[in-house]
Amino acid sequence: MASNLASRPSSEPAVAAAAAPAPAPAAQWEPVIVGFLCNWCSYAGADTAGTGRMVQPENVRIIRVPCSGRVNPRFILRAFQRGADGVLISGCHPGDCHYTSGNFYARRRLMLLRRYLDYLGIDPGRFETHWVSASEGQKWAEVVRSMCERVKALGPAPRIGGLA
Amino acid sequence: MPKNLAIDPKKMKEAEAALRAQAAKLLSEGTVTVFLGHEEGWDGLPVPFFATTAEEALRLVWNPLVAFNLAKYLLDRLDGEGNVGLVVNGCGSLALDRILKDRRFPRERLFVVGIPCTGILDPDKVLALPDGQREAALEGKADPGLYLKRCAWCSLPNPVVYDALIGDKVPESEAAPLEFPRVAGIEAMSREERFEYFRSIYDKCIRCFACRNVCPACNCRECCLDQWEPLWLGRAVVPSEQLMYHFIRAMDVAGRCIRCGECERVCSVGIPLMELNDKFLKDIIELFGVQRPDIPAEIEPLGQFAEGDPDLESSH
Repeated sequence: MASNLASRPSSEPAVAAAAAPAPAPAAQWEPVIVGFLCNWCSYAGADTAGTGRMVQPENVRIIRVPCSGRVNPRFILRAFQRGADGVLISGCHPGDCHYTSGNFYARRRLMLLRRYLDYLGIDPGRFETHWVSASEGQKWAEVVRSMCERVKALGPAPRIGGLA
Repeated sequence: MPKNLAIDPKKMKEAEAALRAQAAKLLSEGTVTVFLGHEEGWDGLPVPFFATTAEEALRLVWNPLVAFNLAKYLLDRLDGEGNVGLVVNGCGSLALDRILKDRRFPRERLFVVGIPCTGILDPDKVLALPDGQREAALEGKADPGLYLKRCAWCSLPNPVVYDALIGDKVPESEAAPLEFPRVAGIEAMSREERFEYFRSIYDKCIRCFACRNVCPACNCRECCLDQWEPLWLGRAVVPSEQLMYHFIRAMDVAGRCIRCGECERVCSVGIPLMELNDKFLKDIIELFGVQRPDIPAEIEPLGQFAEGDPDLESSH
């Protein structure tokens, strides 16, 4: 689906690329987790974890978004369709959103999405949402560690047949 | 089946005559340049019809089989001048209200003729009946199973939007809390069974887009499913794209679905589409305390938030 058209920046290719399975061979299957992190809090928090050299697994592929409110539920569906074993969303704590209320809208939307994913037959353990602030590097490392552990235990996500 | 909903064909015949007169008047006086209604198609099926003259207005029909949602056609009339006339019953007016509340058509260009509803029969079921039974159903002796599914949970038979009303208002039954037996049935399955269930039923989809095209909540200027950049929906009709189509569409109408069930009714391969939309309606009621998310509001549930919304954070 490469396009030669001049395009405005679009998020779909980033989502699809991030969800693509890791290159083989690996001694042991490693889950692919796509993370949507808000620029102001969570991405900075992940950066804090990095600069603090906190030990964490490498399974999370991060996509930076301006706000957790920018996360369109179809990104998550797309990630699972394209091969993600887990999806993680992280934003500012409620009340601390850089754009005031973006994470409040996200909260409602993603709450519905979580129940919906379970309804569709996707284990809710594969979809995690957290509030991580810019200084919470430790918390970020812990979120990543525990999510990777959980998704590893669940195994590869069920795949649906077809060209995807 | 609410007690006060029983089709009254005699009343509908009277309403039909009044509708023809009203539409003819609007067209001849130039109040509207087109009137959206129904006319007799083949084999007794009423089909959408756009009258542009007083003579054509005399072809308008109003009978127990007028199931098609006309409000969607307004989106074709955004360009151009002149006002548009439209006939609606209860659910028809909800479809119209959805389009108005989504600010997709200017109210001031509309002349709405409202007709209080006593129920509509499913045309596919009725027209499939043997002759004697068909006549009986159309004369008023219709089994509850012949009504449109949405009549069973309807609490708004009187139009919520209108400029002129034909006939007396129907007494409205008290709104019973919405129930979702099909969703509950699916929730009772195991997760693996659900995955397999959805995979197998959506495998039937032939990507005709009838569900999206008929849906009043699906009224975006550019549908994401038509977009090339980014390509949210691959063109290939394969199982994974089928699921993406329906899962995305259900998410996009969540909170705005009016529960008309037209998507399901027009599906060319009989997919029970409301099982997805009802899940959102059920969850919105439970999570956000919105009693009737199927009734268009000034701001829809996902367009707002409350400090007390359930917290989202996953537990470790």
